[in-house]
Amino acid sequence: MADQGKDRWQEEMPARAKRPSLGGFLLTVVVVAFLFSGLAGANLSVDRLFDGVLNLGHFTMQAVPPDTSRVPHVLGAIVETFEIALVGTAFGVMISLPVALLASTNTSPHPVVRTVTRGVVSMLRTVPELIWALVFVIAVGLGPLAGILTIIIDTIGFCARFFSERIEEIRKGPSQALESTGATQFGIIAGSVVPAGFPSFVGTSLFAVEKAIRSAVILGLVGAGGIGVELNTAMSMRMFDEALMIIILILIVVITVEQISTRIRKKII
Amino acid sequence: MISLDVAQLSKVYPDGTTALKDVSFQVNPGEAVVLLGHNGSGKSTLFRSITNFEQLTSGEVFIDGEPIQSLSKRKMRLVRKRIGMVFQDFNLIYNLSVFQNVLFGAMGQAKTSLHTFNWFAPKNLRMKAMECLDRVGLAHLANRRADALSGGQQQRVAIARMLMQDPELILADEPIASLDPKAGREVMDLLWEIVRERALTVFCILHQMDVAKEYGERILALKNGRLLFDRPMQEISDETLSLLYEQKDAAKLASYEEAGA
Repeated sequence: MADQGKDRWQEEMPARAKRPSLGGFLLTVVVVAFLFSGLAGANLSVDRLFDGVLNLGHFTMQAVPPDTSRVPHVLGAIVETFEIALVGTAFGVMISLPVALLASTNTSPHPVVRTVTRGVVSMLRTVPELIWALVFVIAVGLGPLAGILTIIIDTIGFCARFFSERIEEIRKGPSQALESTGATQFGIIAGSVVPAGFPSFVGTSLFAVEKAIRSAVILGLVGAGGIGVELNTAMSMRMFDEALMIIILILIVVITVEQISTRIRKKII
Repeated sequence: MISLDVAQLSKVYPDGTTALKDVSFQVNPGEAVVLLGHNGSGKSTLFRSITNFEQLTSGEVFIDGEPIQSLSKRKMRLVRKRIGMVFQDFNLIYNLSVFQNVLFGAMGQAKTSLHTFNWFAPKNLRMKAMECLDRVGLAHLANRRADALSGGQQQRVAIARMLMQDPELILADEPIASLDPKAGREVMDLLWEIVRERALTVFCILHQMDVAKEYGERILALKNGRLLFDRPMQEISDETLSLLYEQKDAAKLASYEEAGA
């Protein structure tokens, strides 16, 4: 304890802050520049904010009370949306399972197959669903089929990835036990991998249904069928009371589906 | 009758660890052989090598005189079908029923794997599964989920699954290491009863010296990947056994004593 004093630990004591690297500094400058340029581009002014609030007020005044006269018609469109979501998810999940088996390290027949499958799945996921919808509307025309195809693609991107992650986590032991009975690769996968992953697959699929319903609502905006078409029409014709009714119905459906799916998930896992 | 012949087995892992070095022994039809060794002695590597779950660095395993490493996938399945395996951690499919787990034991024999699924299983397989469960005393739990059972019961289900195979040779890798002493004893007794009544050959890996002495007819000891000795039970004195657990490092010795004898 002899050399106590100010100079002690001068070398060893960590600095208060580390000097940033050149790359980090440049990145910060660029990001900050975009931030300011973005704010400027939004043309933010007190006037516009004030007008915005007023317009919202107008919208609310016209929207309340919601117009219930077209509820039966709107309900039909909501059911169509629900069906698009359900059919799309069902097929998506059915395709996702084999795809996930091909994409998982422990079940894939060959590393090349695995890499290619993974690449395709992440491409499906990376392209936003609205773009898929636009593509399918061009391919099969306006209407629910385009919506269903979009949801299938979207579900594969989501489910195949999470299924595959679950499959790779599955313990080797039980599979090895089946292998040691002389089981074939199919037997091992069907008998140990799929059952072990099943609760997780169901949970993921239920999430996919919830996600699909929200997507299916939006898909109508580009003409891929369902309630979105109605909402788009109501909004552009400034029939805000009808639009509000549609929004309320959408909320009810989405919340109901989420509740049911949460309950099933709790039961299964 | 099936014979097992292990010839100059060596295994070096990619990181340079030598798990097995020049291990040779034979298990003759009808014998009950116990392999003793402490953690890290190479027991499990040896166990996995016998049915080709582990790639060997050199050496060969012969089953009925046939070298297994060069077998085609289909032939390997036929060999595996004849060998029943019992694992330390049971390896059941835990969220399925006990009954379904036992049915899966027939995967190697059924016409297709689908025939071992309860939905599609033919009546004779379903009957046989119940008989196997009854043999291990768990017929009344057939409908339970496997993970609802105690450890000792789960190992008995695993034994019933193995019986579905009609194995000729039983390989057991520390079948009682995850069980408490009482349940462990019950499992060993059951296993040995089955071996006797069906005149099977058994190769059992253990780390408990006292259990080995009680059940083994012949004892092999593995230490640091080498075979230390291979003798009939009667010729083994406590002194020989203590050789196995002799360690230069006192701290290691203490931990082995905890885990082993």
